[in-house]
Amino acid sequence: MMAKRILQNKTFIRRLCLAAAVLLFSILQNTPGLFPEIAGIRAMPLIPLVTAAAMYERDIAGMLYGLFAGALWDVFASGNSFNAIYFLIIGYVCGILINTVMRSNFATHLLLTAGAALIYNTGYWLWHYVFTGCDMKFYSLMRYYIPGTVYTLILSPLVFFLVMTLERKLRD
Amino acid sequence: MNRFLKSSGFKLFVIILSALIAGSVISVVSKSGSSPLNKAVSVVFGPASRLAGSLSSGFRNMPVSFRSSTYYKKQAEELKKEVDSLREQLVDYEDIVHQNEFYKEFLDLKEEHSDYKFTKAAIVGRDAADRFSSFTLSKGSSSGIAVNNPVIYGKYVVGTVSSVTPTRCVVKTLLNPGINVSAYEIRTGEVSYVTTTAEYSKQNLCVMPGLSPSTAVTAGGLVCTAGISGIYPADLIIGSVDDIVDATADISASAIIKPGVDFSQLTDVFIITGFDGQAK
Repeated sequence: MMAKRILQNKTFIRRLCLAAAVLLFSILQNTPGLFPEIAGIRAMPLIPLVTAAAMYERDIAGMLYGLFAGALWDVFASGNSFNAIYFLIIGYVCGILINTVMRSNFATHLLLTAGAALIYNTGYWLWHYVFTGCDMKFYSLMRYYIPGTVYTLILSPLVFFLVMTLERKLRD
Repeated sequence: MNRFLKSSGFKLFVIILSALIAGSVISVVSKSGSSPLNKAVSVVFGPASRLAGSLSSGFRNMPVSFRSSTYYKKQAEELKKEVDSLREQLVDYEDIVHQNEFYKEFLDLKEEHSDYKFTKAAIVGRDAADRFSSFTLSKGSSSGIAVNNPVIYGKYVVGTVSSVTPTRCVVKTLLNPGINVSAYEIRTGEVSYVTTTAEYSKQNLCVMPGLSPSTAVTAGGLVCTAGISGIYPADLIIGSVDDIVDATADISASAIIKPGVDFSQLTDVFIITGFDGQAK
């Protein structure tokens, strides 16, 4: 009876679907050979997914999706909780911005994704290239990290419409 | 502003953020390179990434086939099926040959060094943001793996474990500028260390700096681990000398090293979890 009531709750189903999407995107993004690379440039579809989820689900759910996405990414990365902290902040900030000063639509999603991807990539570059004194800093930024941001942005409409469809179909 | 700071959302945000930062501090103190959250997530969602890794290698091994369409005649379809079947057999055969080669080299090493303790692991993922060929393996501390354990393929060095959770570990390869391995060239016996730079890493090369200006090391020479730091056992092959160049800052020479294995093609590796002389 209880289980049946839970399964009829659209909010629960919707949030479960979003969590499943985060898991799926994390695996697609971080498993070699599952997601296409263009001339060595990799996309990060988790970024538009977390911003879209935070835009629709707002600050608290947004930060929890961010935390989940970041924690999953950290399993593949060698840097403590860098991704979990980053995505927690992104999810919360996007939710707060939509709550207070922005409207939830495709243009704002593009804007938030661009900002989030740029902050992630430049942050990663600063941490792994500039602070470690690595050579070819600017080459790496221009060759991989800025194009990676653009590639991520190209994917963002697809991710946004996926989340939007999910939200519209499963809204109470 | 006051209302925002007192909101339950902000309080929850601060609590989670503090917990994450505390977790990071714990991971640094415990020298495991992974926070408690990271460990928990890797245990819970480990099977999903392992499944994805298997799917990924399945896709790579899938023979290219052009299935029938309406204008194919029955005979052509049957021939196609036969070709597909033979291709699949060929893939299976190549897999077996690959596995045999992998285990043969491992067996040689095992016979030469009875003190080595090994764990075999499959590559299940890689960080999408990393440019230095790092990857995630399917085994972790529950299999006896610890930070700084050397990772090998046959007799060749691949890299070292940089962080570990109970079911996963992340490996930094020789193509990461943060990795330094004490090394010697086998013909001349010149000792130095092998590292890389972002520029060489891009070309899948390493560098052995600090050689004497009149070094006798020449292209084609073999470079092996010296075992000085206690992280790598001695005499594992790093790669071969590709070229000798003058250093830009001083009068020393540097050897450009081509690693013995192509890290992008690896699917399985061995982790040395113990050996005589290992640094504790």
